[in-house]
Amino acid sequence: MHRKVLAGFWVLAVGLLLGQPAMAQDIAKLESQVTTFTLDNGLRFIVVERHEAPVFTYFAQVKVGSVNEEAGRTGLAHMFEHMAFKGTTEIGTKDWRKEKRALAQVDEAYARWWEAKLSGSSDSDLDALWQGFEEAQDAAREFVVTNEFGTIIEKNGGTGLNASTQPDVTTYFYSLPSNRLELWAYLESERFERPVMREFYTERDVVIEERRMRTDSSPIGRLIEEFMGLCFLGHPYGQPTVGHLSDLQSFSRQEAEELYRRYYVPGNLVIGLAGDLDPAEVERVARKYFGDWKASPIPEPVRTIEPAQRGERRVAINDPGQPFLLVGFHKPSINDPDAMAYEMLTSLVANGRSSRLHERLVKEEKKAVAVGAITQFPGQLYPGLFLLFAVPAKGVPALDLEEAVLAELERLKDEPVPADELEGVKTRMKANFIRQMQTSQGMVSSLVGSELLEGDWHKGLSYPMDVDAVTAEDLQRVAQECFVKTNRNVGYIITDEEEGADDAS
Amino acid sequence: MRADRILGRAIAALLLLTLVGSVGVSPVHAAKKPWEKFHFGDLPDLKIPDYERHELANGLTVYLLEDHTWPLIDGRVLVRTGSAFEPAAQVGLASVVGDVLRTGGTEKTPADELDAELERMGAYIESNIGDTSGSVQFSFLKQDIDRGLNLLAEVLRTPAFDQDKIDVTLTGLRASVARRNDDLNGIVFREMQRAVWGKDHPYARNVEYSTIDAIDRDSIVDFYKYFFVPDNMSIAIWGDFDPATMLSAIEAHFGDWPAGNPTIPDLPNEPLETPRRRVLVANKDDVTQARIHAGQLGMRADDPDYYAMSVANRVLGGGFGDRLFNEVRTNRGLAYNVGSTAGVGFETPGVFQAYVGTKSSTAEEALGVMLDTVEKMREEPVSERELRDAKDAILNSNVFNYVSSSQILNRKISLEYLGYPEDFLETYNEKIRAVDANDVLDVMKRRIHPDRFAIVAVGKTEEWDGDLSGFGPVEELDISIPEPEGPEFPDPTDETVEAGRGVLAAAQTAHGGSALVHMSSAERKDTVGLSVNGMDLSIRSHAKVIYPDRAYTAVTLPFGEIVQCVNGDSGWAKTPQGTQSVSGDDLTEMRNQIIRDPLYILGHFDAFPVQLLPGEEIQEKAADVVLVWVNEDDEDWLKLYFDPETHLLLGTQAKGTNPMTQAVGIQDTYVSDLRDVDGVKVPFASTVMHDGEKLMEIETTLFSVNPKIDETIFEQPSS
Repeated sequence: MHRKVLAGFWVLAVGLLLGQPAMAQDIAKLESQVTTFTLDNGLRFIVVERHEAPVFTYFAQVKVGSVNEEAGRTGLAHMFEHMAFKGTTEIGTKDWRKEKRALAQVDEAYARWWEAKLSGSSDSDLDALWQGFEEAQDAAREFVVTNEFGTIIEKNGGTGLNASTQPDVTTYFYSLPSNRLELWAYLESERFERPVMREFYTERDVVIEERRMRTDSSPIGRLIEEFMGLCFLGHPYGQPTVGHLSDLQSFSRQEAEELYRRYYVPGNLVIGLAGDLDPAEVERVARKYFGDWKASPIPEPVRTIEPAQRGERRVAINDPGQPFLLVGFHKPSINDPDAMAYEMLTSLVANGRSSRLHERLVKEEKKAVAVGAITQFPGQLYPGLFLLFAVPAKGVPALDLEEAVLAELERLKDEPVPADELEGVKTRMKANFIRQMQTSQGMVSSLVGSELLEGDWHKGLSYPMDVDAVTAEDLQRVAQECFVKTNRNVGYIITDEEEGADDAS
Repeated sequence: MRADRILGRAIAALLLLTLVGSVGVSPVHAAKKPWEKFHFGDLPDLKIPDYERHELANGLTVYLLEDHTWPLIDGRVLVRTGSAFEPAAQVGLASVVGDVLRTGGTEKTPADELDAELERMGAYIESNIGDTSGSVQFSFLKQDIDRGLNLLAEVLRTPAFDQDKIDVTLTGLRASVARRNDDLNGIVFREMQRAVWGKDHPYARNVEYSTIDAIDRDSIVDFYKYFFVPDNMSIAIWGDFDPATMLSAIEAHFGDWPAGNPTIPDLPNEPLETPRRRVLVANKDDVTQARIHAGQLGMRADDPDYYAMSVANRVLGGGFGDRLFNEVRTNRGLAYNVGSTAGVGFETPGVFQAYVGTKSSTAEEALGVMLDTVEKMREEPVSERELRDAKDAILNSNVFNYVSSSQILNRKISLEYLGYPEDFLETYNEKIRAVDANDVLDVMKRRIHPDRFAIVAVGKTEEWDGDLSGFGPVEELDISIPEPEGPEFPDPTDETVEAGRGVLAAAQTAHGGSALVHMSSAERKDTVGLSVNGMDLSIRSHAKVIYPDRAYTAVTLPFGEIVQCVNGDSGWAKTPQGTQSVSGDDLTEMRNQIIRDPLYILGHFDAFPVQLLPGEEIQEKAADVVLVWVNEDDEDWLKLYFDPETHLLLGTQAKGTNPMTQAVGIQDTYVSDLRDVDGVKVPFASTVMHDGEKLMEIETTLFSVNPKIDETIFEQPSS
C-alpha cells in the first residue's frame, strides 16, 4: 500500500518536471502519505510514513527565537535550547526534591551577587558573594546525573542529536530506531513539559564559548554581526541570536524560566515524525504522553515593523581576515505572495554553476572564488533581507566585486529573464525539491516549517506548483521593487594590508 | 481526618522500608527508571540488498542495484588514485584533476554547455579526488538516462581540461591558501596532521602558492591518463532501471575503452615523524579562544584493536555526555566544543586526538583537564555503566548505516575496494558486543601514548593562563603563508642589458674566448656527495653532451644504473625497471638543463635575454651579477656571479627541485678549482645549496672538450 503511495508521488514528480498537467490529483496522492492531528491543548503533529528502513526521524519546531528577546536579555532563547538538554524532574537527577531546594539557593545566591554588583559594592564583598554562589552551585551539582537526557537517547541508538536556535524558531531533532517510539514520546514530553534548568550558570559559560568560537574568533562571524546591526534599526532581526557578551554574562535562570513559560506552550509548537511508523500508534502515544500538557495562550508576534530604509547603508570592518562582501536588500516575509519569485531570483543570480554571478565573477572574470545568495535572512517570519555574498579571489578587494554584483541586479530590472533560462532555473529548483523530499528529514522539516511559519503544512508540498506559477514579469517587477539604492546595504571586510600600514597605528 | 493522616504516614514509611530493604539486599533489583521500563520489539536483521557484480573485458567493475522506489538513476564511479600519488612539487595536482575533470567540459561538450545542460535536466555529475581515491557521483532523472550516460562517458573518457577552467580552479586553490589562517579549527586540524605524519608527508603536506604555480595542463592530463583507465575503476549504479538493459548500455559506453594496466604504488601509510611529546604553539591575535588538540597516529579499521578503540573513544569523547564533555564542558563550563576522535580510518590510519576550544585565559587549565581525562582512561577500567552505554549507543545506532540499499551497496563496494573481509559488516555487531572493560583499558594502555602526544595549540598566546611548558618542550609553530615563489626582478633597461652583455663578454674571454665559443660538445665524469637522513652517499655520474640539444647522462645508484637522454625533440629514460619515453614538460626541463650550463651560456650569451642586476656578495666576496633567461616562457631564470676583477665564474643561483624531498626551492651553486682544459676554464668542484642548506658536493673527475661522441647512444634502445 505504501509502495503505491510512493509511486504516486513520483509519477507526480516526473510529471511536474515534464510539465504535464494533472497536478492536483497527484498532490492528493502525495498528501495521503501524511497524517496530521492536533491534541486538545493545541499541540500539532505531522506524521510522514516512510517504511524503507526500521528508523524514524524526529523534528520539532517552536516559534521562539532571538526576535522574542528584549534588550539586555539577548541570547536567552538559545540559552534555553541548551537547557533543554539538561534533563527533567525525573531525568538527570539523583533526588529531585532535594535538588529543587539546592537550585533555589543557587538562584538566591546569584540574585544577592547581582544586586550587590548593581549597588556598587566593593570588590571584596562581591568576591565573597560570588564564592557563596559557587558553593551553592557545587551543592546543587551533587544531585545531578550528568547529561543523562542525551545519554539515554544515544544508548538507544539515537543519532544526529542536536538543536538549533534561529531568530524565529528553535528546532530540536534526532533519529531513533522505530521500535523506540514510546521512549521518544516519554523523553520529549518530559523535556517540553517538565524541563529542569540545572547547571544553568556553568552552561552559560559554555554558551559564551560558543559565541567566542562562532562570532568573535571568525572574520565572517564578526562581519555578519556588524552588518545585521546596520541593516535593522528597529526589528530584532538586527540582534545576534547567540546574544551579546554582556547579556550572556548577566541574565539569570529565572529569566530563562520566564521565556520558557511564555513560549513553550503546546499551541506554539509543531512536532514532526517521519519513518517506519504507524500513524495510529503515533497518535496513541502522543495522547498518552503529551495529552496532559496544559494549554496556554499563544504569545503575540513581534510588534515592531522595520521602518522603510531611507538611504544606502555601508559598513566596512577592519579585519586581519581575508576580504568578503555582503550585499543585502530589505524584502517582505515568506508569507508574501512574491515569496517564490524572490527564491527564484536567488537561484538565478547566485546559486549553481550556471547562475549569473557565478558565470561572471567566478568563471569569466575570475575575481571571485564563490558566490551565493540567501532568499530570506536571518529569519523567515518577518520581513528580512535578500542577501548576496561573494568570496574574492586572492588579492582582490571586496569592493572590486560590488560593481559586478550590482550590474547583474540591474540587468534583472532592465530585461525580462529569457524563456530558456527561466525554464532551466525552474527545472533545477524542482529537481532539488525532489531530492529534498527523498529523505525523511528533508520532507518532515519542510512540512513542519510550513505548518509553523506559514500556518499550513500543505505549502511545503505546493512548491513545484508555486515555482511554475512565477513569470518573467514577476521576476522583473520584484527586482525593480527590491534592488534600489535606498534599500541597499553593503558590508565588507577591509584587510589590514588594504588599509595600509599608515592607518594601522 | 487525623487518624487517616497517621495511617497514611505509616503506610508510606512501611513502603519506604521495603524499598530501602530491597535496594540494600540486592542493588540489581533497584527500581527501574521510567525510561528503562519500555519493551522494544526486535528490529529486523540487516539485509544486504541483491545487487549484481560484473567485470567487463577491459577490467571495469560494474555494480548494479535495481530499486524502483524513485524514478531516479544515481551512481558513483570509484577510481584508485589520490593526492598521495602526486609529486611533492605539485601538491594540489590531484584535487585540480578531480575538479577540472568535470568543470573543464569534454571534447564534444564544452564546459559551459555541460553545466547548462545538466542543470536543465535537473541532473548532476560531480567529480573529486581525495587523499587516496577519486570519485564521480551522478544523478539523472530516469527519463534522461541515455543522455546522462553519454555525458558521463564523455566526462570520464574525453575530458577537455579546458585551460580557462583550469585557471578557475587554480584561482580557487590560491584563495584557499590565502584564507587558510582565517579559521582557527582549520589551522589546528592541519597542524596536527603535519605534527603526526610529518610536514612533508603526502597526507599532511600543504598546498602552497609555489606548488600551485607548478601545476600545468600537461601534468593534469598525464595524471588523468595514468589513473583514469577502466581497469583502475568501478562504476556502481542504483535506481529505476532494468539491470540487463543497463549492463548493455554500460558495455556500449565503456566496453571499447582500452585497459591501462597502471601500477598503483602502495599507500604511504608510514609517518615520517617519530612520535614524541612536544607542544607546538602558534600565535593568532584576532581570536578570543585557544584551540588545542593533543594526539597521535591512529589505526586502520582492519586492526584487531578497532572494536575496543571504538568503545574506548565513545566513553572518552565520542558521544553526548562522554567523559570529556562532562568534565570540560558540563562540569567546568570551559568549552563549547570538546571531545575526541578515535583516529580509525578504513584506508589510512587517522589521527587519534582529544580537542578543546576554550577562552584564552583558560587554555592551560583546559589542556590539563583534557590530558588528565585521557590519562585516566589508561589507569582504571571504565565503569560497567559507561561500558554498557557506549556499546548500546554503537550497536543501536548501527541500523542508521543501513537505511537505504544504496548506502549498503556503497559500503560493500568500498570494503571490497579496500580488501576488507567479506563478512566485515556482518560481524561488526558481534565484535563490539565482545568488548569488555578490560579490553578498553588494555587498548588505551597499549595503543595510546600520551607521553608521546603531539600537542598543537593556537590562539592569542599573550592572554593565556600559561605558556604550556609544563606539558612538554614548547616549539613555536610558523603558520605564516609563504608568498608565491620566484624573486621579483627589476624591469630591464637599455643600460642594464648593455652592462650585462659587457660582464658576460669579459667572462667569455676569461673562460677561454674562442676556445669556449667553439666548444660544441663535452664529456664529463662527476662524483656527487649527498647526505640522506644523516647517511653520506656517493653517486657517480657520466655525461656526454652535444650542444645544444643532445645529452646522455648515466648515474650509478646503489640499486643500479639510471640513464636519462635528450635527443633533440625526443627523450627517454632507462631504469632497472625498463625504458620509457620522455615528453612534455619533462623533456623541456631536460633540454633546458643542457643550455643552463654556465659554460654554454658564456659561449653563446647573444642567444639569451640578459640584464645586469645590482651587485651582491657571494660567499663573502663581492660579485657582479647577471640575470639570464634560459627560457622566458617557463620563467626559467639563472643568476650568474662573477669575480669583478678576474671575471671568472663564482657561482650561480636558480630555482630547483630537491631530489630527496621533491621540494622546489632556491638553489645556490658555488664553484671552485678552476682548471684549464684545452684552453677552456672549467670549474672542477662545486657545492649546491637548497634554500640555504647544503644539498650536495660535486667533484669533477674528468672533463674533455669536443670529444668524439658515438651518436648512436642518443637513440632510444628498443626494450
